Amino acid sequence: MRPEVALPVLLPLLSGAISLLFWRSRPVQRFIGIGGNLALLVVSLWLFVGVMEEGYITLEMGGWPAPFGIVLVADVLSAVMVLMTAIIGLLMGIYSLATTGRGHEKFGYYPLMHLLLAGVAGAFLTGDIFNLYVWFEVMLVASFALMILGGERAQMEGAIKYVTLNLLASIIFLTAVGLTYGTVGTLNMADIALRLDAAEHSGMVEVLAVMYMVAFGIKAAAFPLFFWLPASYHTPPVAVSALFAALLTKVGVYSLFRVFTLVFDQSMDYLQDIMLWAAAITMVTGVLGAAAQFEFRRILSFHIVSQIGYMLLGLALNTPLAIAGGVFAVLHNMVVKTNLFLISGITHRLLGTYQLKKMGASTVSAPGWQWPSFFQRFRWPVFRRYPGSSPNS
Amino acid sequence: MEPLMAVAIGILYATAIFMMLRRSIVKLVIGLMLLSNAANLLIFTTAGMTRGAPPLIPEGMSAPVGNVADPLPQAVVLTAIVIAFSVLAFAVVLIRRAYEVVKADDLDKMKETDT
Repeated sequence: MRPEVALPVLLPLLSGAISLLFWRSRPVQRFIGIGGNLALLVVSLWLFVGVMEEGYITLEMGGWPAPFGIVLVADVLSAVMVLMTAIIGLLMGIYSLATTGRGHEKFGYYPLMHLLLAGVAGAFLTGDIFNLYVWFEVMLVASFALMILGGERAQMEGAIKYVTLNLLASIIFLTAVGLTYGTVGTLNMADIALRLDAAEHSGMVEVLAVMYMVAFGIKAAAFPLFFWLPASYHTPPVAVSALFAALLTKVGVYSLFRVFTLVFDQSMDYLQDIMLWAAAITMVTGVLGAAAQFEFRRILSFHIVSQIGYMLLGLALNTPLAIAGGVFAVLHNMVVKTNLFLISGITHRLLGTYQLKKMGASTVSAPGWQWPSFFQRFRWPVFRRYPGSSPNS
Repeated sequence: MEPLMAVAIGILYATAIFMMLRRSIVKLVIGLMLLSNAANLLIFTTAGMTRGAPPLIPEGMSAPVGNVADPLPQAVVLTAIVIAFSVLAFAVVLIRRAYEVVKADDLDKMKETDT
């Protein structure tokens, strides 16, 4: 019995439920918001330390043995992603205290944030492919509600595109899960991998691989499936945008890494070619899209797309070093992209605009604030030597 | 039974995609609804359809006897139905709010956030 594997999922659910009980009390919700995020950070550290010592930890839910029940698996990749989620969750909680309006907090901002964190942590920790779908949906429903909190016209328009394309991706994923079960008769990811290795290499396996690639590709915002992201990510409040930028697309990337290194690890040459090209074009289109924009958050949104390309390239090259670089790019991007979104919020606060064309005098009117952005854009020099980190942005 | 189900599922998917390609946001939501139903039926069918053989274990034994229906896809479909229902509830509220704000049931009028 290893409770630390389940706690990163259970604690946010619990703090979300408790803050729902205090629906009318803003101070209590804020207190639980920060307290819950702190607790999540503590259990994530506990899990991380355990995983670093033992390599991986599994927990069979309800005591059902592995291929039949649902297992939670924490290996180094999952544990480090959960730890990053907890860190970013805490930072967003603190940032939200200062920036989130009363109108948002009144309509359940903190419970939704906890639900989102629970969904993300569940997706990182589960070892069951259908359970992965369930956590995706938990995360999506929370993100839908966070996105339209406030109810402005731009949010509604962005949310319709976001909801439609993400649901389409979910259905493709669900279809692929159903076909997987029909083909190999199991839903445990490790068990699927074993049975696919034993079975002959049939056309059905390739269809499944492509379906997973498309479904996670939409969620990760890879070319040519990224159009929902720049249409929607700049519409909610900054703390929400930053949380989405740090976590949601990364869950898609994580799932691609998980599925294509664990389940479909047989050589499929043309699939690898497709992924290489998709990754390369994602990098270029993201940057070109960003170059055409003058709204701070829209530039950052397009930049997320471009960075996803770098992560996918690591997976597409498919050597241990390249995959390590891709994972490093994911972690690095979580920190940097969150910070850039937060800086856009500070800029808005100081200057009252997100339009770059109106920001010319910022160094005059707010001395000192240009430095965080300056350092973010150059990145910490130590990271630039790693294979996964990108020289631009 | 399976070929019939396959045709029905194919028609459902095709109808759903057609509905989602229309400009009306109401039809978009109808499309999403049909799509999730199609996926549920697909899971149900691909896992094998066995008639009149519930997966019950006879008294005094530890495993069911003979060829029985697989209970797992039914559990999976049940979960998927609940999820689809909650998402659909959200989508209906969303299109109502979007209609109130934009004053049009037309996706072409919702291009302010695009480039």
